[in-house]
Amino acid sequence: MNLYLGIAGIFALFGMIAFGANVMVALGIVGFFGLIGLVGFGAGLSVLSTVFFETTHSFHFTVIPLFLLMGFFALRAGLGSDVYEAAHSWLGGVRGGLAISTTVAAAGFGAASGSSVGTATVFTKIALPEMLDRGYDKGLASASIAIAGTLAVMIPPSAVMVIYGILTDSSIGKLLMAGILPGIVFGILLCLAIYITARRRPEMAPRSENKATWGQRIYSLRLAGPLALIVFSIIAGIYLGVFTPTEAGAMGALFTLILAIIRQRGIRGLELRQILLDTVRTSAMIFAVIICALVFSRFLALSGLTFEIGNALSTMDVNPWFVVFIVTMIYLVLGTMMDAPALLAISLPVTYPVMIKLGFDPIWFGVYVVLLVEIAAVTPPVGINCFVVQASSDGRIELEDVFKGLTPFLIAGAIMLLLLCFFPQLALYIPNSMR
Amino acid sequence: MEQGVLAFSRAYGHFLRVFGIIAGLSCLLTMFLVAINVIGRYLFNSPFNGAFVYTQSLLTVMIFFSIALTQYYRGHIKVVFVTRMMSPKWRRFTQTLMSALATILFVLASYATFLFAWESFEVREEVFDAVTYPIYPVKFVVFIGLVLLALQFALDTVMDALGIEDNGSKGGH
Repeated sequence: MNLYLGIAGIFALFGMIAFGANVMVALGIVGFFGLIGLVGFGAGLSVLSTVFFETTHSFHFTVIPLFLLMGFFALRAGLGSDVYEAAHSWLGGVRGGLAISTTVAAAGFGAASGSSVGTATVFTKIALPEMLDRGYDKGLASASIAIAGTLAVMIPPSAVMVIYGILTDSSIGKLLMAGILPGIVFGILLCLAIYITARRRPEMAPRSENKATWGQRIYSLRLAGPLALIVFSIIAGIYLGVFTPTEAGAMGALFTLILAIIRQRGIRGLELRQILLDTVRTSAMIFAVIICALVFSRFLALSGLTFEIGNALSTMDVNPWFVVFIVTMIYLVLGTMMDAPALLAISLPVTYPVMIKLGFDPIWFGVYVVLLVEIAAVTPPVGINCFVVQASSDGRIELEDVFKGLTPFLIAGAIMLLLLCFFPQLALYIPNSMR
Repeated sequence: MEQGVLAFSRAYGHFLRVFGIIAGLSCLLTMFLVAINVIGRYLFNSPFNGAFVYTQSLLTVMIFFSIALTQYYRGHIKVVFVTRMMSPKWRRFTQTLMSALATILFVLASYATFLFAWESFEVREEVFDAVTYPIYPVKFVVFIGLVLLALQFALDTVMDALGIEDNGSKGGH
């Protein structure tokens, strides 16, 4: 009986989401009424009474607004153009150099902002006009920006990794560290995809004639350098146990604020009030989904559904990698329709216990899943990042252009997923060697 | 009727913005508090007493004083893939239904969190850490935030049912 209630709950959840309910409302309603069905009204109300306070009264979870604050400081201060200018000076002369510069700059800036959509927006404004003016193919130019945004959530600081950590009770510090190597490798694969495309079809990415001098290159690091140093300090601080992730977030936000004030020559140009409102509203959105997902996952756990699925898979002697394949397909399909926090919130209560039961490492699964939802974020028919790039392009490209240019990058994404499966140490080496 | 609802919605939006600004200042304060604690610990061997517990409580303020404002700006995640294909009449019906369900959920959550906060108030519950301070006001912050959210959803239900759109709530400023 309880099992049927669990299955009905999953259908009700997807039904409500499809009919336009906020994801948090769908999770909360199904979770709460499911709990009432399983353990009674009083017990259901008791869960509601405590979950809101207990989830938000936490030092460790404060890392989310602090990472977001750091990102909004970087976005509003226009630090993206400094990073792009630096990457362009160093890499602009290579074949496909403008697109490669964009990818490298997006990785660097995305690490500071932690926002895939934010990074895609910024670089559409900065890099797309320049690529199109220099005769780059519309598809290659726009798709390279859409996919580069995904690097933002792999390389720390990353709010999405923290969300996974909260939902699965995994170590946030280890998760943040686990994203570094896959993020760098994925960045290299994306640059290779651009380079190979540019070599095979040179007309898609004309070579730039203006090479920067060494003096210009060094000068370009004046503001991009400190931002890179902040990101590096955060990573090193967490790795060496100098900071907790929350402390790293606070220090990162503080130093990014100082950098932003220097760049804007004062605090007025920063629109501090808007930055703070953007930060708390995004944080509230994320926490609302997390809290309601916790109610839903308690309902699912009590129904015994996830336990039964895991049990059935382990007794049926199914190859665990077949399950990984199924999970991959599910995330790729659902990820085209909703963004990362929502997708993680509705899926992890089911997929996480099953994967752990099958013997997969929770940190490895975190990196794998975050990469999956980000690849899905550029996959048609919806592909949120693609919409963002098209919407920010001031009508210079169509959505079809972005989708057309995605093929080499989706191949790079598939290779990255395979690399993670064949070499799990890519994700696990750094966290396992932490102090 | 429609003008009255719209005016009330905008006034309520201004009211929520005040809470949002308090939440934003809590965020800034958190950043300074945690950074001062780190700097004090490493440079002066003198950490900020209570930074850990104050930060916990500030997160609660941050989230619950901005959760209703986020809904006012329609900032909570929703999937419009299917509803976009519906006729306007059906879309309005489903939106009203979902907003009504959300109102019910958050009215119940407000009630539950009020009981939780009241219990804490009755025993004058305190945090005992590096510093000692009463925790029940923070629990009331959760209750207040959820009441504001329930009211916002109730307003959304009325506006969805009447087919009123508050364009001022879509700008996000």
